[in-house]
Amino acid sequence: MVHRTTWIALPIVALVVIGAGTSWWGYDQYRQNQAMALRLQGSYNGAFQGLSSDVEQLHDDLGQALVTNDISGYQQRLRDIARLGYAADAEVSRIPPRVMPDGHIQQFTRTLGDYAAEQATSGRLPTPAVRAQLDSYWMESGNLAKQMQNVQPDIGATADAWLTSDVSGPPNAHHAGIRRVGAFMGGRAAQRSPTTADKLRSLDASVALWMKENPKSAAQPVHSHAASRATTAQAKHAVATLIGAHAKQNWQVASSHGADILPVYIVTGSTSVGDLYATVTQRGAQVLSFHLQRSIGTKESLDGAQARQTAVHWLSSHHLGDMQVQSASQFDGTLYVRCAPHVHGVPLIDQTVTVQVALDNGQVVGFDRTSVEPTGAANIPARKMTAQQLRTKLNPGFRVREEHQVIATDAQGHPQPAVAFYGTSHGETYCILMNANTGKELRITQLTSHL
Amino acid sequence: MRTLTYGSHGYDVDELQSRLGFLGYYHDKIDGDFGWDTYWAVRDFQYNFLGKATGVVDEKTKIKLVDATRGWHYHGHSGNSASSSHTLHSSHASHSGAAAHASDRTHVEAHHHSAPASSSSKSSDALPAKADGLSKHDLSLMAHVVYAEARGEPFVGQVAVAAVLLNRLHSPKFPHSLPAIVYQPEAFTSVQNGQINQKPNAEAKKAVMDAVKGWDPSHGATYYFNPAKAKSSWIWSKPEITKIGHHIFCK
Repeated sequence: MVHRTTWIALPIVALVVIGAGTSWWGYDQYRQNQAMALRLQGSYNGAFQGLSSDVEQLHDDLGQALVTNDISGYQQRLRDIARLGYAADAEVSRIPPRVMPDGHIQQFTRTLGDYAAEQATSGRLPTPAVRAQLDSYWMESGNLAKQMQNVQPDIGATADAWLTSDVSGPPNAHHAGIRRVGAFMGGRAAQRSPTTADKLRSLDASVALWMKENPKSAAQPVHSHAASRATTAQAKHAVATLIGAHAKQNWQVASSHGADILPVYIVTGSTSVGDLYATVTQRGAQVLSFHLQRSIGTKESLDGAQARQTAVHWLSSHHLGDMQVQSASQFDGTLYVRCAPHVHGVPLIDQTVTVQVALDNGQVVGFDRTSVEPTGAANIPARKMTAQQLRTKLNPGFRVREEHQVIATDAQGHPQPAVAFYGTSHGETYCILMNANTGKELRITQLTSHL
Repeated sequence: MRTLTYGSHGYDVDELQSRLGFLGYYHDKIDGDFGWDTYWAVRDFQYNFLGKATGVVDEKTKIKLVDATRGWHYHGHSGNSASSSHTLHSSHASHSGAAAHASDRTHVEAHHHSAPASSSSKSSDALPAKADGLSKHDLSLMAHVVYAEARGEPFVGQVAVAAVLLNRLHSPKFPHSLPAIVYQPEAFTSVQNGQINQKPNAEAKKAVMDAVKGWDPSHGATYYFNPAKAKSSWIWSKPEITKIGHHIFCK
């Protein structure tokens, strides 16, 4: 016989055991959360410290590059600067984008690294223009390093250093973790302004002014405003003409926003073959792109050659220019045909038009020419070197299989006369673009990968 | 009988690669994709056997190739349709007299008939090894992000998310590689909550390929957010470009 006392005591003991177990489990979870939050905070702190150190080192190396009169020493320092720019870039990548949403510090370190890498191949000491640019980088990196030194004492001082003041609403687990770390460390209550992250954001904004005054000299697309603004009906009509359909009542037209993008109409709706999405310039009602979404049958009635011809014929029949097929690749029953416009009979390979041809019935289901700049290929330098002469500059280990005269854009976005050499090395296919005006290499693209 | 060229795909390309491999011109794997390796092999073959290299496998090239590979035997397919109308051999047989090559035709067709039933084409949503400078790893990662972030959104919205990834890759204000962009802390909710680890579907992969081939419905956007879920005021301060589905795209 079990005593009544036992009947009462047993559940109580069970409750105590369960309660103790649950409490222990809960406390263990809490400790794991804190450990994770601390690890995260440590990671962000480490990223900031690394960035700060890289910026200081960049400043020092720039100073040495400006002082030296030895070519090899100068080039070595530029290579170091390029490497540090890359490293600083990587450190910023470890910090949440919400801390520096405009990315000006990242842009600064990236452009500095790219500039140094470019100058390291010049083979000479800096010209006055280059010296002035390096000097400007030296001053700005010094400012940045000094401001980072001011922020450094706050790193790790509070658990919520990486929260920004604008976080509102119910905190997510990460933020809640950081706040609990604050209590765990016996620190101060969550500070709203200014945290380390707030200061870093202000610092990032301060670099914006320098970036504005030192833009990369990339060719900017010129959007002509000579044409009058088209109506939405005209936009619909332009799309309907291109896709060979009638504009339907249910087609909708919306405007894009943004001051620094080309103003376009976005035309959406349904057609007899699928859903439509198209963009049309607001000036001149030129169709920049359209896509018809439909399921593509698996049985192919067209081969690659026929599909390419379809694409070229379609472009020609719609008076979209004299085009040459550059490449074609197949995915999911669609052939993506990339065509380059001709300039004096030479293809402009960096401003291609893509035509998507459905292989089940040969229909053109997509078209995109948003990479074509309105200026096209204005001011192309003279072609001074022949393909034969450029070939002698190639690595003898590269087996050239084909060569074509082309026009390509350089790193600054300027069109250059070039020769494209297609060939193989170590079992991989590459395209080497050589500048036919300067004789220098423009870029190398690896076309295959056997990894 | 179709003309094979760079970008073609299918059983006949499979056979083309196999025959060229038999002759020692092609050394890569038999995958039914007419890529650069196949192109160079075709050109080498044409140069040696026809005198003129075009890289396009027309009827003349096919006839010459079949003639040169009489000792070739079918060794299995790569899952493509066993349609005899798409073999290189059938074009040869129609021009060279059936009797003289009956044994070859029987040999080849016997294998076609005995080949197990398969889908009419091999899986067509496998991502390519390389596309526009991006590796298969990059493309796969993009597909994971698109699926995790935008499944259920209109297809255009999925392409827009893929385009945002590419816009960040080309921007000096973001990390310089796709993994660094995707795994930057707090950059994508799906990374924080683990949804990125789900296997993407064919639609997500198609969206990635469309974005890689140039379609950018976001018009250069580098950020997007769901207005119903965004908590921080900094994202709301970004200038809006367009709205697709539940996402607002901004710069």
